[in-house]
Amino acid sequence: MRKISKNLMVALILTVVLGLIIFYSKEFEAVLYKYFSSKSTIGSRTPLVVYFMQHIWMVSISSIIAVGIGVSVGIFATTDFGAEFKEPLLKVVNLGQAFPSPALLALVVPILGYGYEGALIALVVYALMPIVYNVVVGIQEVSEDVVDAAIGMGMTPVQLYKKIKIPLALNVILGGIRTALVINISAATLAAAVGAGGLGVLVVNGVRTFDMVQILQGAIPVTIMAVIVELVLKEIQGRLSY
Amino acid sequence: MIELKDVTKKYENFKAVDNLSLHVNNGELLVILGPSGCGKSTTLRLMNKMTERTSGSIKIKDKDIDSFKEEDLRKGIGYVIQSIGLFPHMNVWKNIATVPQLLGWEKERIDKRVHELLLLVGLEPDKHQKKKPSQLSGGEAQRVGVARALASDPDIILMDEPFGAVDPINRLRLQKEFRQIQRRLQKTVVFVTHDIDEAILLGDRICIMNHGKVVSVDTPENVVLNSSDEFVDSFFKGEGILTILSRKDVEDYKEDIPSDGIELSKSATLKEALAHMLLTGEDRVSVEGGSISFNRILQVVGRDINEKD
Repeated sequence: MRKISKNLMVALILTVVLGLIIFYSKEFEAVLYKYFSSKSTIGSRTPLVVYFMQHIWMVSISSIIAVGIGVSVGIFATTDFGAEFKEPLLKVVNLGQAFPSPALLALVVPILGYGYEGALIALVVYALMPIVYNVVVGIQEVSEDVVDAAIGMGMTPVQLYKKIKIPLALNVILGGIRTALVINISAATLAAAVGAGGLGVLVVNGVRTFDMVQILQGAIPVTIMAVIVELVLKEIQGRLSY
Repeated sequence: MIELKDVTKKYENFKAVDNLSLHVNNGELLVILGPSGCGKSTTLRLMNKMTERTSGSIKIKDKDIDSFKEEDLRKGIGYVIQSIGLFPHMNVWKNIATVPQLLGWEKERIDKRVHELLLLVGLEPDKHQKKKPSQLSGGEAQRVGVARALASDPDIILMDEPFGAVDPINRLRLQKEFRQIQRRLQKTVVFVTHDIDEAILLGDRICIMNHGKVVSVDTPENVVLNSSDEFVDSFFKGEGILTILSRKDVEDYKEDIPSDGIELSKSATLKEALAHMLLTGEDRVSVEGGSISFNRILQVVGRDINEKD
């Protein structure tokens, strides 16, 4: 048996904490009421678990799409066919990462209207940036000597990617995916502002009504989720890369 | 075995290889020697199409290299580069097994081959095959690089300064080991280097290149001792003869005359014998089963010098 690492240990504890918060949401709320002021009364809103599932759903779907598109586009840009696109793509992606996520959401609304789809697309676009960037840079940074040796031994372009380039870039690629997912979890909070639901509803409403309890009810699970994902992906990254 | 005819490689206005013709015989080790930028590495890379030539034809085993698919051509030719290029994410076993796996060999056959190759290059299979390249010393990594190039038992091996990155002491050891391996396997090897001693020690023939052209192709003895070319002479600076001696084993020239004093080791070369004489002041040094004299060395060298006449 492999020893369970510290990362996984912490992630496990946090998952238990998160689970307790979600399933004993009333008690969690009661604890918050003790320390913070609120204008609403206990248990009057949609159960926390509903928002939580919406949030997870939104993050999962957008992340899966973003990873799929991001990895493909990134790999394409490093091939001979995509060489022309590489520089402009990197520039766009770099700029895109600097673009604030609320602004991106605000841009999507006039085009796609309020609701789930718009938020989803904004999240996908935003998560794409670090993924594409890391895929391109990771593959670019594979030592030229190693690539030269591999080609010299008779690998086809596909074999070169499968056996050499992607495995060697995996660490950087997974790093990009990790960043994207963590950003996505927090950015999904803002999606509530365009009517897409999720834990962000609590935060947005709470801010509007200066309701500290409500803000924390949304913010605490989101933060814990982000930390769990960060820890778990870091562990995966550590095990998969050479 | 390998036939280059009027081969040119142009980069914009610069001719890296200029109308070069060269023939590599079956089973010989041909060294391409020259200063950096003379086009020797490019010439090598043209042979397995790592670089595409501008004009001219290259034939391998009487077949135009353009008649092969690039990947198939390369799978049939061993290739070793200076930086070795071991795959850092694969262990030694997987590195050596790369080409056999590309060729679809069965696991057992690969296992056997890897074992045999590690022994051949002087590494312990059980100790080394599970190691990652980062756990190997420079010399060990280079040995693995050679084993990897030999993996599918190709007839031809291209080597681009394979021992260039190894420290001098290990380099000499690797060179000597490689010479032994080559004597046993009789591969057709094209070996690029800028190290004169290495060229003389290893080469069956030496091709000297300058400015993308062949200046001279001949045996080390003739290149060093009978050259009429100014560039070639300037290259060896008259010291080549000492290296020529390092090509010759005392074993092959010893006389049946017993002698006292310290015995030279069995694998000693004439250069070492000469060094020993200079150190001890004696004109005869003993070896296992006989001895060798200063006059004998003069005789051997003299014959080389006059060989052409």
